[in-house]
Amino acid sequence: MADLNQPVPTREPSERFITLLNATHGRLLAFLRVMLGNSADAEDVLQRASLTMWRKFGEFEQTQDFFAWASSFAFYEAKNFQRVAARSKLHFDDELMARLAEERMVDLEQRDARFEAMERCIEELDAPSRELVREFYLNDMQVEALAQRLGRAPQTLYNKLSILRRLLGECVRRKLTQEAQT
Amino acid sequence: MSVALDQQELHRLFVAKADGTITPEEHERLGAVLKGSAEARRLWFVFQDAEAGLLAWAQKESQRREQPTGITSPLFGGDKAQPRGGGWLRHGSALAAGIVIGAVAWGMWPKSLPVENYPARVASAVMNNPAEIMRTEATTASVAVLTRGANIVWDKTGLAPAMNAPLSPGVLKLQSGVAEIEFFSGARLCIEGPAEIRLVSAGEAFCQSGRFSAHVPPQARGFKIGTPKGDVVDLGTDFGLDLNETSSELHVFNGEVELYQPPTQMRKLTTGAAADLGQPGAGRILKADEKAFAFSRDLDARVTQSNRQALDRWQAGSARWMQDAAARLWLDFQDENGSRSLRNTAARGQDIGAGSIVGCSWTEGRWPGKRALQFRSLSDRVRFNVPGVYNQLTLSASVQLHGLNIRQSSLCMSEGIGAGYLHWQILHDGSLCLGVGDGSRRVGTNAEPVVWQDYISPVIFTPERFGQWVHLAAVYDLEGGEVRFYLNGERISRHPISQPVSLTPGLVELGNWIPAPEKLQQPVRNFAGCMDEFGLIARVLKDDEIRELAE
Repeated sequence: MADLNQPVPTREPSERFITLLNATHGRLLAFLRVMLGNSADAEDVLQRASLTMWRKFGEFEQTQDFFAWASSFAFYEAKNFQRVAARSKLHFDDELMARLAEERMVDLEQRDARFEAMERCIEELDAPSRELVREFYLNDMQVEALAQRLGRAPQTLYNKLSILRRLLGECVRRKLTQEAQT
Repeated sequence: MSVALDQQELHRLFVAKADGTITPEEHERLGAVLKGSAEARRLWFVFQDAEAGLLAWAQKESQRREQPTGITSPLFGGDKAQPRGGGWLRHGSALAAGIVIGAVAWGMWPKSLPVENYPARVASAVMNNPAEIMRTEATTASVAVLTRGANIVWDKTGLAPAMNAPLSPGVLKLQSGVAEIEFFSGARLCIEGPAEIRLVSAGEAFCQSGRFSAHVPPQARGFKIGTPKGDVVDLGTDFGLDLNETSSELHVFNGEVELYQPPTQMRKLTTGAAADLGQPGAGRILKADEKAFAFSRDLDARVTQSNRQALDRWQAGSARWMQDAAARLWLDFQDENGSRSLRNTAARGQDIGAGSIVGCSWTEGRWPGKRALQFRSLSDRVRFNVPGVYNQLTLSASVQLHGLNIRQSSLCMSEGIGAGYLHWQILHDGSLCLGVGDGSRRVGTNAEPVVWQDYISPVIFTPERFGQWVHLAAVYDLEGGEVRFYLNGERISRHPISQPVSLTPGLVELGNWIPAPEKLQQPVRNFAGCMDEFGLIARVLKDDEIRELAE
């Protein structure tokens, strides 16, 4: 828990911090996702890391790259998170985490292009499939509840979704390859 | 532990990890393959970005629909649009007090969607959008296919495509052996391990290291091969590339290629010429040496030999399984040509006897010398009577699926709908299903209706798997309270038994189903593909036994 007796930084740096954090939020989440495997954990860890960053923001130098600075907090918070959750959850070991983190820093350059490709791929889906994808991601990927609401077997629905996810993933890769060629 | 996986299997593990349904064993495999393979890590990053993209799109889409008029989503917006329990990051004081922070994922989207209302957009998309193809058509990212190979050993840290597997863009690492790849453009590449190649498109590849022999027919003119030392564009020819630690050479056996090594000017090499790629400026043309690329010409002989060895290994294994004390039905499909019955070779299967073949045609199985039955028309089937009551049962089949055009395709199904009946089938989405009839009495009487318990696996058969030989297994373990499915020896899912039912298969059909013999019209359930081995064993096979079966 945050130490409330710690002096709160003045208003100006706090606004700067928020601006910087907002601008890098998506990339930080994307950085964490590959180590943790899902968005809920990535969001949890980023919440925690943000508090540490906020407390340490006084040490951040204007000339530094904020994402590089913030990602180191995110990385250690991710490791910490896994240690705490270790007993109940499956997680990647430290060696793999470190390698994923290192390579992801470079890989993130391609993220925007992948997002753009995905947006076009979603447009290629038929309306019911698109609706199913929307419901699934909007409802924390809870298939059971969705299946009950739609009156379908959870496994059938899950299989349908995994086919759609595979198709969309392939579509993204195809579009990126096509772009690389032109 | 072997960690090499194909792309479909890797994607399944990615999804299981993301959804939190991954088992400890699967997690170990995923960790090992990610650790060992840069290509797998790249695919993992792409997958995670795709997932993030879908989540962001879902949030943005819902937000957009809530807006009454055509306002695009603002980057940091109103309270109404809170995603997934996160609040907006606006006040530094709230932050300092430890209040939840969360920016909007969709704020990171590079561009926004069109702004019309949702229903209108759906309607116009359906009517006007010719790009809307995924609804009715299967799609693939494949650019090539693995057609032949001899003694292939894929690097344990990379992907391991099966024979006849379509190949998507990505890296292949061949540790040893010879593999032949046909690109969809028509170009054929023979690779001798150790080698590393990245497939780029149907008309392009990047050869990192190893020896390659290319045949490019006129239809594939313009096929491009990149190397670390320059690019080769083929003008319809046969040529070889030898990329090893000490030298990189290009040998043209027939036809003409263009060699690009910027800033050096493009050079054309014709029949009989060779070039040292390590010395772009040298301009010295060497003599092509065909002997160094003999591996491509020897491939036929090596494939024949490697197939014979595989057949021998299979014969020895099959002979052991038919002697298993619990084997009730063991079909090796090695019956005489034209035979109208299928011999049951299980040592303890005398009371079952031979099955009768209806329709079907004899064809070649996994290797030359291995026989198989092809199921094609809706009349094709093989019938057996399997007496007995079973609390534990393992079903095993080696099949090559040709397509999924109907709702359900039968692998092995009891005739009719009755209590204790089993229906092992492939569903139209490509998953496996073991259906078990539950009820107090058999069908045909006025007894209470049979309730069907369906155990459904994740999707196995994507179009990429059509035409490939795969091993499938299902285990029904009433005592352990579990149903398990296996693909190529690996367990892919387990399901708790919802209603304890002892199985009484009775009259079963391979590759087809008769739901109610007395009715005039029967639903179509025929299997479209080939089968070259089938087993029904009255005990629970352990994971490593099933792996042995699949090998």
